[in-house]
Amino acid sequence: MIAGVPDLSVRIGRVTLRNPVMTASGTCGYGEEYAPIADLSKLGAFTTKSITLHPRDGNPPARIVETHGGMINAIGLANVGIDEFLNSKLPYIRTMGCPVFANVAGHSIDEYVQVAGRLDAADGLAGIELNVSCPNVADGLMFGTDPALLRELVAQVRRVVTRGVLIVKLSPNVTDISATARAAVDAGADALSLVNTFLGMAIDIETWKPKIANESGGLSGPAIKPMAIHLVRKVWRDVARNAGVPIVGIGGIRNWQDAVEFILAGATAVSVGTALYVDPTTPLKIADGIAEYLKRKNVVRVSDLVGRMVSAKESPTPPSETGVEG
Amino acid sequence: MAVTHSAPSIYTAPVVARRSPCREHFEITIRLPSFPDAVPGQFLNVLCRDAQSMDDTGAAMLRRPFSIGGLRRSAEGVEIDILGRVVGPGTAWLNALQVGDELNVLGPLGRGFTIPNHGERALLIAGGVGLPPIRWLCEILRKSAVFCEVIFGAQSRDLLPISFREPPKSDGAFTLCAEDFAREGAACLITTDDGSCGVRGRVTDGLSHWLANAEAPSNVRVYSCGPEPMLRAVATICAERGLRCEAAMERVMGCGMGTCQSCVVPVVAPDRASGRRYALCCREGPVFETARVIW
Ligand SMILES: Cc1cc2nc3c(=O)[nH]c(=O)nc-3n(C[C@H](O)[C@H](O)[C@H](O)COP(=O)(O)OP(=O)(O)OC[C@H]3O[C@@H](n4cnc5c(N)ncnc54)[C@H](O)[C@@H]3O)c2cc1C
Ligand SMILES: Cc1cc2nc3c(=O)[nH]c(=O)nc-3n(C[C@H](O)[C@H](O)[C@H](O)COP(=O)(O)O)c2cc1C
Ligand code: FES
Repeated sequence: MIAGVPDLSVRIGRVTLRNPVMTASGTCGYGEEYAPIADLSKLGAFTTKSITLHPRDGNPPARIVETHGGMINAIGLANVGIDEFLNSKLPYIRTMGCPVFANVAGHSIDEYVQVAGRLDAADGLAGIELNVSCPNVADGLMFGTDPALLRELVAQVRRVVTRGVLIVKLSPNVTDISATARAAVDAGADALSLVNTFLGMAIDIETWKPKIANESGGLSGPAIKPMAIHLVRKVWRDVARNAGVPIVGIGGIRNWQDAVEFILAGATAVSVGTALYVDPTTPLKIADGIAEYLKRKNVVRVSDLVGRMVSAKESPTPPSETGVEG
Repeated sequence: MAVTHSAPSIYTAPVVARRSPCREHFEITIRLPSFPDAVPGQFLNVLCRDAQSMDDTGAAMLRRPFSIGGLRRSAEGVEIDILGRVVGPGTAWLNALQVGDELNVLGPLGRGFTIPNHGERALLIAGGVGLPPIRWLCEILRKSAVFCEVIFGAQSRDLLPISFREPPKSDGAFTLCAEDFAREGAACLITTDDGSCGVRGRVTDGLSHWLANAEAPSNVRVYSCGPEPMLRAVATICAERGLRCEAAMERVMGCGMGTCQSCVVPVVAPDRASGRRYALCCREGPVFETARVIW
């Protein structure tokens, strides 16, 4: 590689991303929506809205409310369904010029398997992200909170996802995230993404009504960042590092500093969600920022940073010494 | 007329004018070097905080949607007006902007009002802070020589963000009283809930006055913007009288660009077993044919 130009590429399973910054499911539609504003071909990767077997209208409004430094959503997996996705969304996705992961949700193992199998058979996708962690449908959290059930689900889906990468997106709404992470890895996941939203609620004190119709929803945005980083570190330490499985870190990432924090904690790549609403070009700015940071720290490859947080007791810890000569 | 759908962009633009048209309201004008074609009813998604400040306050993280309240093109660029009412942290921040401060806006977004066919007339109805798109629409319709009449209402006189050439009539007569509309040659009826200005009552009372006197209401297209109960009431009257009506609707918006699925409006869907579906206010709207909306 050319001296002075840091290598931003990372590998998620068999797919190489040109940079470690992705978009998070449900915050970037099916691609064409942001195309006028952001050059999608420069993304590390793109993740679609969750796709289900049948189209879903989603929950009654109000579906979102902003809270301090974040937002609560209960969209209810509103999506066009697998048929419409393959017919009218995938053709555009094939032109996007970056790896695209199709996010899949379902009510039963059979539904997940049907949708994932058809997506894996279609050309133009880098892989599947299994959403086992949606807090906004009645049984959405079921698979994400029960390690045995999750193992079964991932194993079944793995059988039909033979061409694409299989990412399992973990819920933070569990007592021990390492247990679900281990179940997913044991059952054949190529990568783990974490986290989905944290359960939350907001109440209007004048009317005494919940601020979103579903009452509870999923909290996202900067407010969840420290919790997400903690969970990434935990999964990296307990499961991912030894298994050699990459983590996609998600939760409140707004800028390159946030992304670097996740990478130091153990994330190989990161996904940007809520921050896209403020600026759909955020992932591109983050990738540029990481490149500058690597140069300044004299680190050759972004993958050299993964999990490099040092313990508070360790000394001396000049970060520049962690770099490899460029 | 074809509906314009110019590609939106993010712009950082200086505030070149600001004023306080009435209690709790502000109006700012920004100047951009260029801006795509846009139509009344389309909106901007506005960052209502300092781009860097979120760590400090945590407030107004998401952009806030605002109707384009006026748009003028000249050799110096494009001037856009935003008229708003202070209801929370984002609007309070906008209200505090000074000339020279910068505003970050994303637009134009959404689908605007349609322009009537030759020979049609327009009745424009605005409630409260629903004024901005209606005001700009009137200007555009008059440029196409469409005959316009306006009904504008608010709670009270001190919440009317509009200046008057002469006192509005309290007997239901339309006059060239309101500067913004008189300038375009459009007569206006003002209503206030407390009767402190114009007709005592709601804009729907103004609509009843208009209907009592209108000669050929079937040739009229009604355009409305305001609080949802008002839009619903106007839509109901229009449905009863067979009037075609469009309403600019509001929803809490996450993205303004069709990605978050938060801004849904229930509309009729004859092809569905349920007969209904959710439309995205930010993409299919914010302007809807009121006959399509399930109120
Ligand atoms: C397409 C569109 C065009 C709009 N045009 C204008 C305009 O020209 N001038 C203007 O003053 N306002 C307009 N609004 C409303 C404006 O977006 C809200 O007033 C603003 O988001 C409030 O932000 P805040 O931080 O001040 O208050 P917040 O604290 O966010 O909200 C204060 C109160 O207003 C309610 N609210 C917030 N956003 C909306 C919304 N989008 N629709 C209905 N209620 C809401 C909240 O539920 C809350 O009760 C428009 C909204 C939409 C969707
Ligand atoms: C409005 C909204 C819709 C979402 N929809 C989905 C979804 O369909 N599937 C999914 O796996 N995650 C979904 N998410 C979760 C995000 O992908 C992401 O995990 C979460 O928002 C945390 O990241 P952030 O803080 O950067 O937004 C959604 C988030 C938001 C805010
Ligand atoms: S505001 Fe996000 S879809 Fe309409």
